[in-house]
Amino acid sequence: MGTTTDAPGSAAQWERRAQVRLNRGEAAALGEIYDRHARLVHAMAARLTGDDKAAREVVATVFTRLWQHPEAFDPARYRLRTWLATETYERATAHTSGAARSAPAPGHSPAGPVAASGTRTGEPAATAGLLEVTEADSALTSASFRVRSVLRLVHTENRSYRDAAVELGISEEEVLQRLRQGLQLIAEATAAAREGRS
Amino acid sequence: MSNPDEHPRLQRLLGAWALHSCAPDEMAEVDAHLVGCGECAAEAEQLRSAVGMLHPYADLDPSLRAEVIGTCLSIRPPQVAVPDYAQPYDAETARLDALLADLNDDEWTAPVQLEWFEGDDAASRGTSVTGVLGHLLAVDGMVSSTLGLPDPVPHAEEVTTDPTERTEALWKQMGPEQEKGARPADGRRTGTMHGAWRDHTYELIRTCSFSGNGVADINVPYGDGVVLPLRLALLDRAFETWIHATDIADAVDYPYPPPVPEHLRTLISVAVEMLPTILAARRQAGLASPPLPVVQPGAPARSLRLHIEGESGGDWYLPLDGPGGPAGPDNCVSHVVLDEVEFCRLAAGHLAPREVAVGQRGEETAVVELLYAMASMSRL
Repeated sequence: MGTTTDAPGSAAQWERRAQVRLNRGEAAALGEIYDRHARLVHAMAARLTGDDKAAREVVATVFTRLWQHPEAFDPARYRLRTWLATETYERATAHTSGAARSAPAPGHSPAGPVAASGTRTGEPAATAGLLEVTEADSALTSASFRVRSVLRLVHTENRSYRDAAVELGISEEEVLQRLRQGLQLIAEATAAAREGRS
Repeated sequence: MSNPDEHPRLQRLLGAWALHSCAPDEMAEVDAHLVGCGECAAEAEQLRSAVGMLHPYADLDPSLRAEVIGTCLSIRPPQVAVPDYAQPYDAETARLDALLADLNDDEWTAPVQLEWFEGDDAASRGTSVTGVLGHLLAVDGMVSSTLGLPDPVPHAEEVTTDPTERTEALWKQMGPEQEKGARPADGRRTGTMHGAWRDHTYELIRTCSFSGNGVADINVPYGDGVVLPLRLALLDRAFETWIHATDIADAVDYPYPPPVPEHLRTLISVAVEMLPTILAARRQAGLASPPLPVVQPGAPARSLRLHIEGESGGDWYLPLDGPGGPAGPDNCVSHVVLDEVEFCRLAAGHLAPREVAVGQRGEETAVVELLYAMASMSRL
């Protein structure tokens, strides 16, 4: 009871234990890891493939690999999140280069700002882009439903903030506040990733 | 141009400006303001860079969890599986967890109304989202403490197995502001009701996984003098987790569909199979008319046909004159038809027996008594 997961030390400890549990074939451990990380894996896969069906397949492939080969993840070297992000990147880019390329939505390169060089299977990408994407998607998926729904209407569906307010039945001020808050979350997360690298 | 009085209003527009979603005159106003305002110019640049990181994606579909885990387990069968009786609980706690990860800080304090039936009357009680989780944790603790896990309710040794008392004991120790603060990437925080509830559910699922069917039939004192085999108690906890998740979802206006058909079918069957026993208990308490063979010696025992419509529904003949009694087409005196979700809402005390859209034929008293028996399965 009361496993702590916030402090970096105890998080690493939790991941070592999770790996032991995966090794001995404990299905409940897979569920717990999925609950912690599936949002990020799915968001990155969707960004990189530009397609929800492909993203679902990538999520399944990434978790299947972890379940089949838990030893491929080395908790002494990486955080599980980093390992999963790298796996996701590789599976998603393999998916898009393998499959017939479908045109991504205007203005969104399917590979985003990720630089493709320097990754080997099981090795977190040394590329700056991957880290930024990971942090941006972490921030996005951990933002509340309310923030995401406003960003989606305005960014993806090109609504003005006034139309978004009408559509969601909330005040214009509330829309403005959520847009600013959502962008700030992403900006802070990616700035931290850039600083960590320099 | 850079009128200081306009600064707060234009600053609030920066997010919309970065996304080009202001009116043209507002875009121009912000552009002009940025020339003279360093603070806003810095933020504008920051937000602009964040726009480049946005991408059009759909939220993670909750049904993907079962799909992905199913794929994994078919490729490498688990050595330690989550037992069948714990599967609905595993799925429903994961669904609620995903909803909670989506809440804003201020939504944790949103008022939630809990509803149930007491005697034959609707009862309700107001609490917050945090309070609902505390309630779930307090009652889940009755199952986990039977398995030897630490009881989440403080001073549990002094607290009875009454779910209301346990809930109140847990509510008393919880502060109202617990859920505020930065959210970690995995969507929950330690030292919060969310974290405490989730860790406890994981521990319970894990313990059942290791104990498997060996503990499926151990007795769980479940309050109100009821003792259930662990397998049924955990299915009831899955049911309650879903029902209370819908309470939270209603309070914050969040879409929340019923459990997957396979699990809903299990939950419905469990509730239906308990009905004859509950009806008997209500007779003992004078809340339902006595068995017919008692009133008219020599009269045959009766049964009722319950038809629950929907993908997870089914058809049952329930004995009316005692739990072990005969039940079948030969002694059937009434026929009741109910929708699957309405049945669940009735059993959860979220729908009054008189509000149920019920199709019925035959003896009316038997039907009414059955509907009240269903509603009486609910509690806080």
